[in-house]
Amino acid sequence: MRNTLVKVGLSTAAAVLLMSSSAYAQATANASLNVTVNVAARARLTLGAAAITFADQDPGTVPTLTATALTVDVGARTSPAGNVALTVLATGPLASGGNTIAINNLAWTSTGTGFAATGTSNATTAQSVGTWTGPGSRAGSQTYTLPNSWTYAVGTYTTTLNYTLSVP
Amino acid sequence: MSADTRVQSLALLVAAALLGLASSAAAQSRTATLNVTINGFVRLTLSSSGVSFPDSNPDLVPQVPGTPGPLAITVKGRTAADANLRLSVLASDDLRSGVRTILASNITWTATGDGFVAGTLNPTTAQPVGSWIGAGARSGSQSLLFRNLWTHPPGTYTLTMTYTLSSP
Amino acid sequence: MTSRTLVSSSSRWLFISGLTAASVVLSARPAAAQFLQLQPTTISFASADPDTVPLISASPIRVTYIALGQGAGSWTMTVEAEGQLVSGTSTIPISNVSWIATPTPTFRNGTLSTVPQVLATGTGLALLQSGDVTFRFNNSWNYNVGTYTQTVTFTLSSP
Repeated sequence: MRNTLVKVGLSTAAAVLLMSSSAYAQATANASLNVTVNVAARARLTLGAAAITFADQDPGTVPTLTATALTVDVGARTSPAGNVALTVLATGPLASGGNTIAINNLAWTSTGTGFAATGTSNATTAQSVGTWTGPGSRAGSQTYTLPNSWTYAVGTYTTTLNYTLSVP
Repeated sequence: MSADTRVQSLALLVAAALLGLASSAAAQSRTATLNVTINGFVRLTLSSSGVSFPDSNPDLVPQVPGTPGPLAITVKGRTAADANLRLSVLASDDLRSGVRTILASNITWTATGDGFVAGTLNPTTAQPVGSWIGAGARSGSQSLLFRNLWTHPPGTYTLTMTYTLSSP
Repeated sequence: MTSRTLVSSSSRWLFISGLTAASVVLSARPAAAQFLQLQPTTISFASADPDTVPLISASPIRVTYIALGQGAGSWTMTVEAEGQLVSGTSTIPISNVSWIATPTPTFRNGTLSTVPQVLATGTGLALLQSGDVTFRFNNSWNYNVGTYTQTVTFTLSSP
């Protein structure tokens, strides 16, 4: 078989290799995300128990009755300079029927930063339990005491202590 | 010569003249060169342009999830073979509400998807969100969390998170 | 009657002259013949965004040809890649390059392969015909950066 290529009046197209620009690699892309955080003023008061009890004791051997320590948790979201105050106000004297024990016999000692070291219950004026500045969560404890006097009439004496947490 | 013969002769003459341009070979080949240019290119897509953290009780929700839910992230990149593709995020500042601030590091995230990593927001140094080797399209998600503390002063805090996708 | 028949050893011109009275039977059978030209001879795909340009088209290749099948039989034009698209150590399967071609039905669409693929086919004489072949490339995020090349061979033949 012949393999002769005859070209008349035509020219074979020359192969032209176009060199494209070199491929480049470095690239960067950005995107943004707008973040919003909402923090509202808030207050939290938690007492470790709903009641404290002083069991009957012999005044000759136990001159002072001591209740189980009461834990107190205070949470407050306020301005950095905001004053946070915890107070307590008794509803009245310790009473058992017609017999009473003056409420100022009910005293306490406290532990915890910002908690008043000592205090005496009052049914007229709220007494400071603790004060703090700015937001945060604080925890402490109160231990109530009552003089164990021979002069108390027999009975079961009760009162209510109302705690109030103020957060500006 | 008969007329038929002359007609045949002329036909062959014309055909031969035409075919004189062509090769008598049974096959003829020509080549062309294919060039494909692939340049470096990256694309970053976030499913949302904003995220918010609603006010919540720190005792009940210690880590507030962002809304809307997980941020879907799509990373597409053409890189040199075996080159790294990196995604990072940088906060514009700490969270600010007027003069009040909350550290940006209170925003953290968990992640799903190959190559995506968990992290903590930082306003000074871009933090890695993910990294991959070679070209491709990858998808994952980021679940942003706000550390909900009692120590945060009230306010509406904002910042901007800037994501950067880059290939060398 | 005189007759002279001149057949050049280097050409296929056949001269028959001087026949007046004798009859001459010509039984020459035209040989299969092809002519093939490509314009241009480069098929280029520029880089593009895979999301917006999923299929990149190159400028058309004009294929000009003369074909004659053996004894007015069939002829075929094929196209074949000599390998995958290569850039250094990176490759892209050649099957990502396809084409559309006109005019139909002579020309047909297809996908490049390292095995010859039919581009056009016909029977008898095709005298200085043309077709346009537009190659297309599947764009993807999965390709490494580079300038990929490969040679594509067009072949016109008859069995």
